[in-house]
Amino acid sequence: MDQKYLELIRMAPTVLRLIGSISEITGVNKSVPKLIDTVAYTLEQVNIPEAVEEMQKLKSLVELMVQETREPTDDEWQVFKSRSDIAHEAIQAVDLD
Amino acid sequence: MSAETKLIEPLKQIANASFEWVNESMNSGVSATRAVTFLMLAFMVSLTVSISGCTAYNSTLPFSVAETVEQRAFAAYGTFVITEERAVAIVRNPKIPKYIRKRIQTADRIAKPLADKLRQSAVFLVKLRQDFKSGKVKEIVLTETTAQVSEDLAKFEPVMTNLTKSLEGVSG
Repeated sequence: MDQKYLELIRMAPTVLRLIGSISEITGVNKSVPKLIDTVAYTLEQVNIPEAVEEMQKLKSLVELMVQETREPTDDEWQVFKSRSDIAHEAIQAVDLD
Repeated sequence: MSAETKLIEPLKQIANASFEWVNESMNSGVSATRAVTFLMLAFMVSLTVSISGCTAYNSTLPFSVAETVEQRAFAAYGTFVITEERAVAIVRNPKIPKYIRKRIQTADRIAKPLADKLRQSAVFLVKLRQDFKSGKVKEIVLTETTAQVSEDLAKFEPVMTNLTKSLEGVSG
């Protein structure tokens, strides 16, 4: 069931763009394709299916730790630290002034 | 609501923003038929995102399966990183209002040092536990450090909530 919803979200930008193209061809107000494109673009950029997969991977990793009665290793911490450093730098690098 | 579930909120808010945009369009003279079309589109997106938030996202709760303090810290830190990575796309998106992106930037600036402090203290606790097993440290030290990591986790929670709330944007 969950996978179905993920597929739905995954397909949403394509479907929205198709609706946008039809709107453009049929000469509906120019704002319609613009709105559709903005929503589709944002869905693609935020990439919810990827985020859900990331959360599932993290959950599986923690479950494995519980099963093996062990704590997170230095390497496991390091992977997330590196990712956080990259994301943090990218967020702070955007000039919004 | 868990931090993980809250990650879905940005898209709900983006859908809500499109409702606001529709209202503005109506006020600026767009016909009722077209405005209804916009509303339907915004509603569809909002609904789709809400459904995925209620099912797919709720089924993935790393924090809920963790048992030890170190595992909980790891799950919280990992969730933070995944949130941070989603935030990059939003902050870089010029189509999203600047004030929302600024709020995310500020929330991340505050959250990052606390997340790193949590990571450092949890890594230290892992090493300390190993030393305790080999008899190198006393139980009281381990107990105190465990309490410290729990405290760091408690301090981190509101900051993490603030970051996810900043992602909600528009109506905040």
